[in-house]
Amino acid sequence: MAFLDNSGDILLDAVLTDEGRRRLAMGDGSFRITKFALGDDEIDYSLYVPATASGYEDTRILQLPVFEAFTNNTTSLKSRVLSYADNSLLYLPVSKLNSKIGPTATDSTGPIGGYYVSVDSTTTTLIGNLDKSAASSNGYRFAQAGAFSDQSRLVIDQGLDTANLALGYLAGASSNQQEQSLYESAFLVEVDSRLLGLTTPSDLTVAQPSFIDDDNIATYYFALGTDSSYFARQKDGKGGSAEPAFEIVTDSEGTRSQNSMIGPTNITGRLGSRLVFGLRSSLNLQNSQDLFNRLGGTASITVGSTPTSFSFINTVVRITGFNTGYRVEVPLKLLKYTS
Amino acid sequence: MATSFKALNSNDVSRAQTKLHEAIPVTGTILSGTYSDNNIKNYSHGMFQSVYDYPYLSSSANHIIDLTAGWTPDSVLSSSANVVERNQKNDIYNEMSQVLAGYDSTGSILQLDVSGNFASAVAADKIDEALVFNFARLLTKDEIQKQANGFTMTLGVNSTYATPFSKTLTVYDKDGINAKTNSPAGEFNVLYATGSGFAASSERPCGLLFYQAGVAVLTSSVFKSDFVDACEMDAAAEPIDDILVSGSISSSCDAIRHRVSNISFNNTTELNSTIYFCRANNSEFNYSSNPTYLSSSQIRVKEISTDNPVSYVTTVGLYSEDNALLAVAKLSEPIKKTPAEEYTLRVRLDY
Repeated sequence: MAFLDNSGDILLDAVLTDEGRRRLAMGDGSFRITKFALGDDEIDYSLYVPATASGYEDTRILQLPVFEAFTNNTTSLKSRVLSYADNSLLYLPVSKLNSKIGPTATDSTGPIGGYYVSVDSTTTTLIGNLDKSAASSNGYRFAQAGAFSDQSRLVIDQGLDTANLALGYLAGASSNQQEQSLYESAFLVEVDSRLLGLTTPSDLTVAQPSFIDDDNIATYYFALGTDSSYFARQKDGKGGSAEPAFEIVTDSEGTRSQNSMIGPTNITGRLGSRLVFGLRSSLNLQNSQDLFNRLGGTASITVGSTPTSFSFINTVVRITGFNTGYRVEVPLKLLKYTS
Repeated sequence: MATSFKALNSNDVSRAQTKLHEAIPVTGTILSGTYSDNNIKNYSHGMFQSVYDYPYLSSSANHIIDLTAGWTPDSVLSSSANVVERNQKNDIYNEMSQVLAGYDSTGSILQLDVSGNFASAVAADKIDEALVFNFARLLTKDEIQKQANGFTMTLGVNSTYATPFSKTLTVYDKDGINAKTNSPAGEFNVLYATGSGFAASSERPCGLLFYQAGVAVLTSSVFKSDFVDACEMDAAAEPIDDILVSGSISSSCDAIRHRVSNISFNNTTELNSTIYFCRANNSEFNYSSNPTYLSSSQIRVKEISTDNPVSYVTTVGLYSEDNALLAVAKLSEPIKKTPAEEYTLRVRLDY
């Protein structure tokens, strides 16, 4: 991918994405542009130097070359520029995979910061026999039909992750308008539809994607107003019905957050929303070896203390705040035991 | 509430049609000389000959022109003995005629006619022996631009085979935008000829140029004394009529190529565009969801809350209602967006 010539005037180079071309070719009216967003994928804001002479803060940023347009619809605008009515915001919310409720893999061959995902009951049974605490401690998720909900779910916490703010809610009774504007009430989740689907976190009902693009990437849209079962309960705050709750508790140990990724300590940070959803492996993965042969391979993975050979596929789940735009990518290594 | 999308309303969208023109110069040495005819492709069917801009066995080669030649069964050449490829020459003439001139009321194929009136009965205007330049779509795109003197072809018409360009004949499109419309192949005009040894005042029609079809047809008379000189069309000094009778179509094409000095015209591409005016007002798009924008949730570009937020825009994405990214436009350099600035980014999608 070449860089654009930036020595002259500012010019726009517009291209249809592959999904745009596909919809245009379908001729069914699905190609209809109704809104726009601005992106800044190439920008590294750590190059901004606030404490310097005026006009020199962003010299290095403005010299950054810009890529030509990517035509893959999931590759562009990974980070979007945002509008907030308030210009005095000093903190913005982030979204983080909750690795306290579902500890992530840590071994060197694993998906660091993500999960091993068993795709069928045979594999789940084997892993459970070899490592009793696989799901609760060692970075495993079970995605076959009938899996326990607490073993198939991913939990995403949103909020202000700073020690400079005392513990509180972004959208609670005592929150001001500025804080409430930082609360994320909708998420987009992207996943390879050939491999995985999503389910509700409690009764594991399979969710319907908004659309599946030409690269088989399914996009799910979960909004608090219509999909409250995907948003964690939040006493005294704003939430849905999902467990585990995302709230501040007061007990003998004091007032604190529990199992939250927001706030460097359990008495700091502002809790926003928590998205919870389950993973469900596709029938193709459960019943066939084909996709493992085409997209993955075989590897020996130590479960508990026993090296075991699995077929695997590496993939990723992307979670993006619909309003706040913050994006999290969770690496997954899908496993299937074959003999 | 934070937002990263902004709706486009009817005032933010406009449509336009633009005609884009490219200058297409074809130097005669490409047709004959530079590549020792390694860029000339002949076929076993012998109906035409293809010219490439590079030796055609190379993957870099582009097909630019097909040449062919033929004559009507009504031509005086029909009575000649020992005609080579008679059927092919008649067939190619009829094919060109039926596509470019059409049919009469009885369904008979009309003849090509330098007056532009295919239904005319004036025998002197009929192109009985046609030399055809069929330009590739790569060169003509949607059509050859209609422009007075826009299409020119310089032919070497000196009688001697070895020095063809000592005298030249310029074939050109005189009428430009005043094109005729009575061809089934779209708009066309009469090509006129003038040149050295041929007074400008005595310019005369010598062929037809079909703009949308991308075809130029010349009468073989341009290489006869009717125009300038009776030209020696091959090393054996054969005149054009002998070549058309006793030579194959391919050898007729070889003879024509030898006498082309250059061809130039402008092509036309019709671009249908939708323009989206993406308006970033002063209070919009001043923050970012870029992971580097924050350090422990604090905005890096601000030291205190009263500092203005800043973002740097590099990309415009156009989305459907269900949030699918349909088109992407890139800026050539990052632009700084603060509450002190407003921008209208004009994103143009061409179809």
